[in-house]
Amino acid sequence: MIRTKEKWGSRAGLVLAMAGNAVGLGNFLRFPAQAVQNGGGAFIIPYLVSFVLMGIPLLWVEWAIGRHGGQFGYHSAPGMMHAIGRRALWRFVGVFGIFTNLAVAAYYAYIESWTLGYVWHSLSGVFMGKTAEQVSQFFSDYLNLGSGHFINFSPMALFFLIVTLAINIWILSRGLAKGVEIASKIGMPLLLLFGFFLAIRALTLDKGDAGAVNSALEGLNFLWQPQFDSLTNPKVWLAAAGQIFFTLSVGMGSIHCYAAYLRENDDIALNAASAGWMNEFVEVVLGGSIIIPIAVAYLGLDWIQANVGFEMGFRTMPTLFQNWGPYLAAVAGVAWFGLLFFAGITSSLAMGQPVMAFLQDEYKLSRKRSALTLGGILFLMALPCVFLYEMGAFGEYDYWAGTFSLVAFALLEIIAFAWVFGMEKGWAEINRGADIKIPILFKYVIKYITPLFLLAVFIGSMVKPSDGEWLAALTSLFQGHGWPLADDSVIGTILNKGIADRRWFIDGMPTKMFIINMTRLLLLSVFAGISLAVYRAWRRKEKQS
Amino acid sequence: MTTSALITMLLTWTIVTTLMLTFFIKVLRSPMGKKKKE
Repeated sequence: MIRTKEKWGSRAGLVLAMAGNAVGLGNFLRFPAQAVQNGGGAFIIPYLVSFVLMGIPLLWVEWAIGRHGGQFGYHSAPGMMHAIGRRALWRFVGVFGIFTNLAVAAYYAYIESWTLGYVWHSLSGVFMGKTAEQVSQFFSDYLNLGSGHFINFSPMALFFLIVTLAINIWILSRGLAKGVEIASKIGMPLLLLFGFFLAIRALTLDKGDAGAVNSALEGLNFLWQPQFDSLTNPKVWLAAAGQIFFTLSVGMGSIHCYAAYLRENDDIALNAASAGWMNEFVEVVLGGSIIIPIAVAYLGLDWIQANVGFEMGFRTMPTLFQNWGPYLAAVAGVAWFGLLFFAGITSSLAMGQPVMAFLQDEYKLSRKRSALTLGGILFLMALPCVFLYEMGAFGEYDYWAGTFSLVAFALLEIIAFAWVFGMEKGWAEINRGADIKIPILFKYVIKYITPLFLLAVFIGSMVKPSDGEWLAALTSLFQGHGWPLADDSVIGTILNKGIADRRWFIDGMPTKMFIINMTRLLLLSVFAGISLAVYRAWRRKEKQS
Repeated sequence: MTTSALITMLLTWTIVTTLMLTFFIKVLRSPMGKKKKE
């Protein structure tokens, strides 16, 4: 095995890169929406409990699997899983660690490119003087939505996607210390600077100030008002566990990859805790203090409850910034979309690195060639998300790669670590070179509690009931009325429950149903292709040895 | 803002910020790669 010479340049750089991997668009767009929809201030209790019992243990496990694999020359999940599982089966479980990164990076880079595009448009004053409807329409035009055409073709969106991919590939081609680490050292402080600027401006908005119809504190009140009755609702607990899962970027294979470039006795206990809590700071303190307070100040509580969601960051925020005058609106636009861009790029770089590492380790590609190969694959895989956005391709990528695969891989990896590799060896691996003393309690949390938590999230996603109402669903089941399966549960999605018209073609034209099924076939083919690449790589190794 | 919302928010912010700073300062104070093989 040829060992890579790549290593992290500094500890702060490593922690910032890991934190940057975790801090993503979801910190600013998903967390506030989840908190609002799940009981405001009471959501934070299950959220923090999930962080301590599932998030932090999973971070330690993934760092440990990564550093352990790195000692055998593996920097991507298939080899690392083989190193702890010692059976061929675990190599193929590790395929998730390549597949997820590749598929998520493809659609994530597209969203990232919107933020870059919106930085440009904020700077060039495109939103100046536009009404709320016009700004919202600008987003639809930007993606070519609602045109009635089969394909969403937008030259501008495509241009910014290519620029975004080129920036990512250029940074990755420079290597860890000179590329990823420098990008994180620049990106994370700028993200924090933009975040503080927007949070301070948001929280000082009073009723009547700069056109605000409410005090921004009403938004904070809405977000933080405890509703303790929601604590007994399983829906809230599953939402909180899900949010912790996605915000920390666990179950992807990217943390493993970054940790694989550590030395045998480098600390992982403190590094993981530091990166994890940094992500929580950005999410809870900054993420909760921007979009909701500003939107409540201008649009009111009722509007937020009806409209909170992902697209709000693009459709609504530029209009609200206009109230602050032309110069501050431009600065706020650059800060908001710049913040999202840095949050996005530090995550997409972490998704690219495991794929490159696999190509370098197993197929002996040079760093530049593996970066270019990655760029080509990502571009091709992003095209369905761009052109078939409204036909459901984007949503399928997000569901199967960005949601289902993460939970499946995390569940399997913790079983491999705690039960196959063994908790005695695993605990020693986590604590080797540790700069903090992890309470022994976590040995048992990792062995029993975290897998149970993950199992609950996994089963919860498989059979999620309509509207997430578990108690009502159980009552329905025991009364003999059956289980009211939600359209977006895994089983409901496989069965295409949410689609009324199941025809594949209407008047010779492919339908949404057709595109959704073809996208699933594409994703399955990618998974099978990576499995084949893993199979061939190990077969070659076996022949050589 | 109600007192209960304010307390929930400030308590959470304090816990998260304190732990984030404590761990990151520890990281900055102990550079990587200084340990000998155990």
